[in-house]
Amino acid sequence: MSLLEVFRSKQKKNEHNSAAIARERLQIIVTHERAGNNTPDYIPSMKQDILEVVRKYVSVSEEHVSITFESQKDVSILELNVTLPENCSVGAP
Amino acid sequence: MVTLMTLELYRYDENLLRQQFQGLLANAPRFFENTPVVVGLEHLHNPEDAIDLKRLAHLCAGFGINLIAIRGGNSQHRRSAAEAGLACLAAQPQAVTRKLPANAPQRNKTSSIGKNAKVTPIHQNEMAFDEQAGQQASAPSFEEPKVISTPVRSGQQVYHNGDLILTGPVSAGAEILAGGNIHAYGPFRGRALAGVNGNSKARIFCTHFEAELVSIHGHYKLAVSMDKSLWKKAVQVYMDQDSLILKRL
Amino acid sequence: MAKIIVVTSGKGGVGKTTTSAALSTGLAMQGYRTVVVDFDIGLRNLDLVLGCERRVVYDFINVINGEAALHQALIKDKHTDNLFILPASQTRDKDALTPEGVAEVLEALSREFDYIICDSPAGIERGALMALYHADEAIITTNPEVSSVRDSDRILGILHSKSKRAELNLEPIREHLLLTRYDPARVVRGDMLSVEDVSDILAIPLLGVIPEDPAVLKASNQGTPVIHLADSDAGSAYDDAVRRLLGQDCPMRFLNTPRKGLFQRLFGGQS
Repeated sequence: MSLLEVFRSKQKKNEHNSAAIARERLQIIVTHERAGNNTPDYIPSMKQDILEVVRKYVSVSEEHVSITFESQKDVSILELNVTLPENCSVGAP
Repeated sequence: MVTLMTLELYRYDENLLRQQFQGLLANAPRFFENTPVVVGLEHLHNPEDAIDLKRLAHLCAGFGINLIAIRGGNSQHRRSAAEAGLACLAAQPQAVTRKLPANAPQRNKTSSIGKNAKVTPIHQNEMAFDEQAGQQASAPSFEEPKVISTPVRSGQQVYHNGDLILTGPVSAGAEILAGGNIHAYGPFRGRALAGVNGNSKARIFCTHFEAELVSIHGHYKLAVSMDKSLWKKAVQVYMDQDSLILKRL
Repeated sequence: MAKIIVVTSGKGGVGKTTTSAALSTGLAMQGYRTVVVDFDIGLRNLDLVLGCERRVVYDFINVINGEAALHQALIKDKHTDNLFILPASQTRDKDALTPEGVAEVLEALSREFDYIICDSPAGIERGALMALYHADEAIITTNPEVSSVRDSDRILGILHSKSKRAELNLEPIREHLLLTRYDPARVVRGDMLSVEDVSDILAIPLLGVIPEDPAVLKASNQGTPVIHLADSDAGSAYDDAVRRLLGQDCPMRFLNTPRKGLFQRLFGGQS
């Protein structure tokens, strides 16, 4: 492998990395937004409120709370998902 | 104070009027665009001419001109105006109305570059009318020259019923319409239309000629059919008999 | 009072959002309190370029409608101190952008920041008009390509007629030309309009020339403004543009130089 190839492959890998990051970011955002299309307006502020309630007990960041809203025929499902950090003391205010 | 366009009537001849409106709108289709217009009757050649203002209003409406009032006129005119639902304004004092000789645009009157020649911002798709801008139906009369010192950009339209002097660049896609002559001192890449109100003696002068189109009194020429040696040179455009002449200055 | 700068172009895809992100980051890096506002309602992108898309809770429209306070909607940038982002709404349409609402928000921001960068949407409709209305300065982002130049010219006309400064007959907006995606090699071959060609047609002062650079794509993939990639050509060119915007004298680079060769890359040669 020549010196040139070392640099080429390194560069290629970096570019691949940035594309991979882009793909990952877009997957998250696109899923999020598709789900959000029929979401009622109060969801963001409800998410904020829930986050504050959870934070009274556990320190979690925004990324650890996800809310999805799904409508199927005549049923709407609100799914709340809080990922608690490891070694947290649940119940201790 | 509200600025209104005035239609000065010299003769009441419906066919002639119709012809003149058609000519005007062919050159500047957006000229009236529902602007309120006052008919001035002070300059009628025969002040006792009977005028049916209902018919006149109808004729004007056909061209998108909304008559709202008459100015001056005799008692018959005022009666007819009342029947047509038009308001009657008092006659204008003689000093205010400008009556210039027919070759007015060619004169060199630098002493009075005052109010009318002041530099005003140009508005998007808007025709600029100075106060008292009289649109005379029977004989063309011109305003003071107007100086535009800001660049005229693509999509902008500048109209002045008189000489237009442009010191900045005029971009491709801009349109300059003058009742009189056009003088352009910056690069001219837009459309130049001089003598739009029927003055075939009007000329276009450019120091840096790259126009898309030039026109005098409705006779036009597109860039594709122009002599390439004129490109970016100082050029004047004028009418000789019935043909449009482009010539190096 | 903050200085309000609109980044606009008329044409889409010429690099308005990339430029808004880079210049606002650059101003913040120089120590100025800076906020960048996304006016592209319904097609939010600035958050992606700045890498804060997952932290958007409230947006510009929420603030205008009184559904959130301004400080709730402002996102503090993770990479740069002094930089805040006001994201656009992704769900509403541009009609939600009311003149009164925009004026109020900008006035409130103006009290807290040194610079407000308005990232305009493409086109000449409501969103674009709102973005430019309050501007003190305008950065006309243009590609060296005929349709982009003509659209820039059109937007310059609109700045002259429809901005607040034009309507109130104040001193006109200060205009700057920023040429992006410039490729000197193609200019030399005669395949691309040169800086001189574009400056001559638009007749406004040149703020900078950003060379075509793969680093721009890489930066947006990662969600970091390209100005942070300090060894990239585009990043350095944006850094120069920020300095010129602040009144510093900074010679133009990347106008004639061919792309850096391998050896220059290896040994860190600066052009």
